[in-house]
Order: sequence, then structure tokens, then C-alpha cells
Amino acid sequence: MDAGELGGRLEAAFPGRVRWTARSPKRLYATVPADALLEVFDWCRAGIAGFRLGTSTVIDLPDGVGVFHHFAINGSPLVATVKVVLPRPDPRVASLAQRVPAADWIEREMHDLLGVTFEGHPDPRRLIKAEAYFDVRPQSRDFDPAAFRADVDEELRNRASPAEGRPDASPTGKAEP
Amino acid sequence: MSATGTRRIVNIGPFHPLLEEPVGFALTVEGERVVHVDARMDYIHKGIERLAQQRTYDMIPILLERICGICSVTHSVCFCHAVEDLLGIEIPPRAKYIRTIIGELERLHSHLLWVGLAGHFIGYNTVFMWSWRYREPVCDVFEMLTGHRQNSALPMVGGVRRDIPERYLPDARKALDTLDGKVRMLTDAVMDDPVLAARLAGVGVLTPQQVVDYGVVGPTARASGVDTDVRRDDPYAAYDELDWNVITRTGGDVFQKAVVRLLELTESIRILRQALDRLPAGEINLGLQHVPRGEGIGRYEAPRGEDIHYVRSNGTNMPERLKVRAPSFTNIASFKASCLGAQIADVTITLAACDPCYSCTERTAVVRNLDTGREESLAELVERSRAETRRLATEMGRRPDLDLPGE
Amino acid sequence: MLTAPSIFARALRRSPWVFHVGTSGCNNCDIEIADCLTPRFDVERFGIRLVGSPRHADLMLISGPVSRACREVLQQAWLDMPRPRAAVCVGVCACSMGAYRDAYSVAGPPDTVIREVDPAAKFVYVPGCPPKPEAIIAGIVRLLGEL
Repeated sequence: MDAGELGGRLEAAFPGRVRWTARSPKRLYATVPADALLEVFDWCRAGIAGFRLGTSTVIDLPDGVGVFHHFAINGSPLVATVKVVLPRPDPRVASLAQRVPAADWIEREMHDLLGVTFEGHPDPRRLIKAEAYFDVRPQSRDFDPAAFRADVDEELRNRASPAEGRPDASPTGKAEP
Repeated sequence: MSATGTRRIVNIGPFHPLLEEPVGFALTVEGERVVHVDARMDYIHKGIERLAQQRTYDMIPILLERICGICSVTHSVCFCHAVEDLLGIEIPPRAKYIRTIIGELERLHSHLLWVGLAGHFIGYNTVFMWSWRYREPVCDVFEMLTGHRQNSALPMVGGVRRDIPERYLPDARKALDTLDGKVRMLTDAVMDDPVLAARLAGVGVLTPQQVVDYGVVGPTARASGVDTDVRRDDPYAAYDELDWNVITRTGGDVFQKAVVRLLELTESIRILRQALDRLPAGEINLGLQHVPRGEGIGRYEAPRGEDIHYVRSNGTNMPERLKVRAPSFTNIASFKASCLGAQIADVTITLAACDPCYSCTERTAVVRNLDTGREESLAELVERSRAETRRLATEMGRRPDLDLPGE
Repeated sequence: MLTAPSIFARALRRSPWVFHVGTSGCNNCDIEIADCLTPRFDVERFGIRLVGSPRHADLMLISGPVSRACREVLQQAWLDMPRPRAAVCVGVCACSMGAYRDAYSVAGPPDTVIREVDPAAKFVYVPGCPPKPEAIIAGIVRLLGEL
């Protein structure tokens, strides 16, 4: 099954709700409304052998926050990308992690990067952002890494490290292992 | 966190320092079984995607070589695939063969590294020393052909940046011939060893359904009988012109995952010999092109499995968005399925069997023991793993290691 | 020049114990460091041993640009090392952050991070991406020679 064929079948199964392009026989890009995502996923998973989530991209677009799920099919060259565009300031969409564990970590990562809420996610904790910058949205168009570095450097310099005040190791020699 | 509340860097012990990155996996144990697994990934996040979005298409492959020490060809070529997908172009034949050669050399040294690490975890120290020893000539060949042991800076959008010097091809072939014999010897020794079979059989199993549900890829998937390999499914470089096999096994336990990797070593050498012999003449690069607005997806079969890159262009000389998904990001998460209910002695080898790429993802296991309240460091977990091997070997009246003739 | 009681300086020159810290690098340097233990390079025959805790170490081998999450852990490990102590920064990331210079998640190169808690700390720098095992060994030997 190639991209055009899958695109056609999707359009037939979800009339009026899918806009799709086959950029090549093996690359399909389909945009669906956010509230159709779970249905579309269930349909694909039920009907396509070897269908799996490859990964997902979150992207700050001019008209909203894009969540692009890139699906692969074992044994096939086809990658089908299903896109939803979510409105700011509170982008939210159904979590695929409630269906498959393959979506678990990647949805947590997308939440870290652009603040998308994945409704129904079984474990929505931060994944990749350290405490030092967990308020930041690194993939935001407004994010300026250089300015951020300067700010956090300043903060870290002014904050006492837990290592300070703790006695330094003995100067008299190394401990025996 | 240790009992005193200070964070500490956990080291595997005096043998080798590979696993000294700070806390990755936290396991909770009741009795001898794992009841809960959690992972922490923030220690190594470097913001590479954001960095790449501030670099030109020409600079990015060089940056991406540095996502991961082992997978440098992987990420730089996969990015090129994504942009070449966007452009709808095909690179020249000679470039395809060169990418094949450096890609398979990478697979060789990565799998050998893994074999050594796995040996170390279960206490087969001869295997560790031996496989890392035979990894060196692979790095030598890489250096001969590209100028560097690890990062070649060869891949670029449209082909490769420099040619490989043909005067070193005889030395490369010779090194591969020697390695071939060694690899077959190691493979036979592993497959014939009853202690290994007993130690690793039934450990860390992933069912085919779990493989699909977790999106597991690479040898970890193929060991469960799931037939997936990007080199065949979504062919790139010269793979569709060469004679080679995708290796799958059934059973999905750690033993089978090891066997898949060992057999892939032999396949890699086979591919390399063909590629070196059939290296076509011709140009090596189409010349870097303007990248118009658009999007593309590149895939690559890394030693650990499918790598995926998504690139989006706004017509400038820097990508609007680059998304990188290394295979370990997906595979590591399957640790939940393969490790829940596992014996604590099997944790380290189960984790290693996903072949985590340590900077693509993190791992180090610190254990919370619900019975004793005591924590166990990675070094202690490794020692437990080795003790279990010794116990089995004693039971079977055999030595807990392989006899591998050195030189 | 490190000042140390001469007996310790002699002991160090004979058999330095080394603690390796990888701080969010790509692991390439870590693998080359580990390579130093393998038969071709075999640093253990020089008496160089990797140890499991900074408390037992004379030298620290540091790789990687230091992520913000690692910053305090690295500082703690340094303070846990008894004096005399010094560090070898292995690889360009450990020397000057390398490819991660602009990354938002990186705190700074190890020497800057450690000097926050110990301004007198001594470093030897082995650039490379990654440096070859021969270069790493040369860096350690250079540091020992200065004691």
C-alpha cells in the first residue's frame, strides 16, 4: 500500500475530515481535526498490519501548535504523518499513550518542549527538562537560547550550590577502597 | 539519591567507565523481583534539535555526528535522508556505496562494543576484552578510509564530502577477512555455551505484540521475530543492490537478542566486502542545493534500530524544525515490559539487551528495595548479575566465561 | 605546579587512581577512555587504575559539556576527591563545550563549573572529538609529570 492509496482510504473512512498529500509514494501527510485523532489512530491500528508509532514532532507554527505523529509500518517503506494543529494558549489533544505505550515518552517530551497537554496520558510528568529550566519552552519561536543562557547563568552564579558549605575532602590522603 | 540524601555519580566499578552517567533508571524491588520501573532523562538533554535549527544544512550533519558517540554515521546520514526526501533527489552511486561502507563499519564496531558490554554485565570478562580488542581494527579501518576513528564528517546533503582513498582498500579487506574469522568463532562459542543459554534464556522477553505496541525497532525487535529493517523496508544507499539478509530470531529473550547482533556482524562483513569490491567510479556529491519550503522524513537502520528524522524547511538555509528520534528512545521504554517481574539479577543484562545508546537515552539503575529499604548501585546490580552467572556455571560444572583463543 | 607532600607526589607518579565522570556528553570520549583499558593500550600496566568513587581517586577524568542537571553532581564529586587532586578534561566538550556551546541545557565546561567551588583546581586539557586513546594517555602522563 502506498501513500496515495492510504490517503484515499483515510479520506473515504473520514469524509470531510482529512486533508492529505502524498509527497512521494512512501510519504503521506494527512491533517485531521484534533477531535478526530484518536478515531483515526484506532482505525489505522485496526486495519493495517505492522502499524506502529515511529515518533512525533511538536512544532510552533504561525497558526497554532502542530503535533505531527509519524507512523511506520513494519515491512513497508511508507511513513504516514498525521497532523493536528492546536490553538494557543492552551494546546491540548487526546493522548495516544492511552492506546499504545509507544506514545508515552514522546508525548511527555512534546509537553516539555511546547506545553501541549495530552488528555488521558497515564503519566504526564516532565521527561527531558531539568529543574533549572522547566518553565521554558525550548521549541517556542520566542525562545532565545542565548538570552536564556545568560539569565540562567546569572541565577546559578547567585544561588549557593549544595556543594558549598559542605566540608571539603580530607587533605591528608586518599581513603582505601 | 543515596540514603544520606546526596546525589552521587554511580560508577560501574574499576573495570570500565562506560556506565557512569548519573541516574537513569530507578527500579523498585520487592523480594527478588522488579515491581516498578521509572526513568529519568534530563541529565543528558542537550537541546540538539534547537541547536540544529540555528545551523545551516551544511553544518548540521557535523553537529549530528555528536548526538551519540557510537551512532555518528547514523544521525548524519539520516538527516541527509530527510533533506534528500524533501528535495526528492537521489545521490550519486559512488556516494551511496561510501555511505554503505561507513555505515556498516559503524554497525560492526557498535555491535562489538555491545557484545563486550553484555559480557561484562554477566561476568564473561574474556568476551569483553576480546570483543573490544577486535573492535580496534574496525576503528583503524574507519580511520584509514575517513581520517578519523569515530567522526568522519563525510555525510552531507547530496552525497559525501570527501572520497575514500582507494589505496587503503586492500588493508581494509584484509582487516575484514581477519575479523570475519574471529566473529564466526565468537558466534559459535556463544551459541554453543550451555551456561549462556541457561543464563539468558527466557530473560527480558518481549513478545511480538509488545514490540509493536512499544514501537521497538532493530535487533531488539528482530529477536522477537518481528521482521523490520529499514535497509530493506525503506532502502537507502546501496543496500538494494547488494546481497544480504535481515536477521530475525524468535523467542525475544536476551539470548536471542545477542544472537541477532552476532549474526548481523557476519552480515555486515558480507555487505562490506561487496561494497568495497563494487565501489563504482563517479562523482560523490550533487552539490549542496537550495532547500525550498517543504518537509521530509529520513530513516536509517542504526545498529540499534530505526532512526527517524523529520525536517521542515521555510526556504532559508536553516531548517525551521528538525526532529530526531534515535532508536534507543523507543527501545529503552520497552524496558518496562521486559523488566517488570524480572529477577533483580537480570536487570542489567535486560537493559543492556535493548542496546541503549547512552547519550540517545540514559540508563543507570538505582534500586529501591521495599523489603530492606536499601538502595543498590549499578555496580552492585552488576555484581548480582555476575553472581547469578557463577551460580549457574557451578551448578553445571562449567567455567563462567568463554574460551576464546587470543593471539 | 601542584604542591603536595613529596611522598604523595611520588605515590601518584607511580600509580594514579582515576575516577571517570561523564557529564552528558555523546559518550565518544567515554568510549575512547574505556578503550585505554583494552589490550592495545592497556593503561593498567602503567599503574593507572579506574576506581569506583572519587574518594579513592587522585585524578578525575572528565568528559562532556556539563549539563545543568549534572552541574552540582560534578561539583560534589570534585569535593569528594581528597587532595592532592587534579583533572584531565577529555575532549573538546570538556575543554570548551564543543558543539554544545550555545545549547540551552548546558551549564558550562567542567573547569568553570568546578572552579565555582574550588578556584584553585588544576586542569589538563586534551582536545579532540574524540581524542584518540594515545592522546588521552598523554594527557594523564603530562599531568603526572607536573606533580
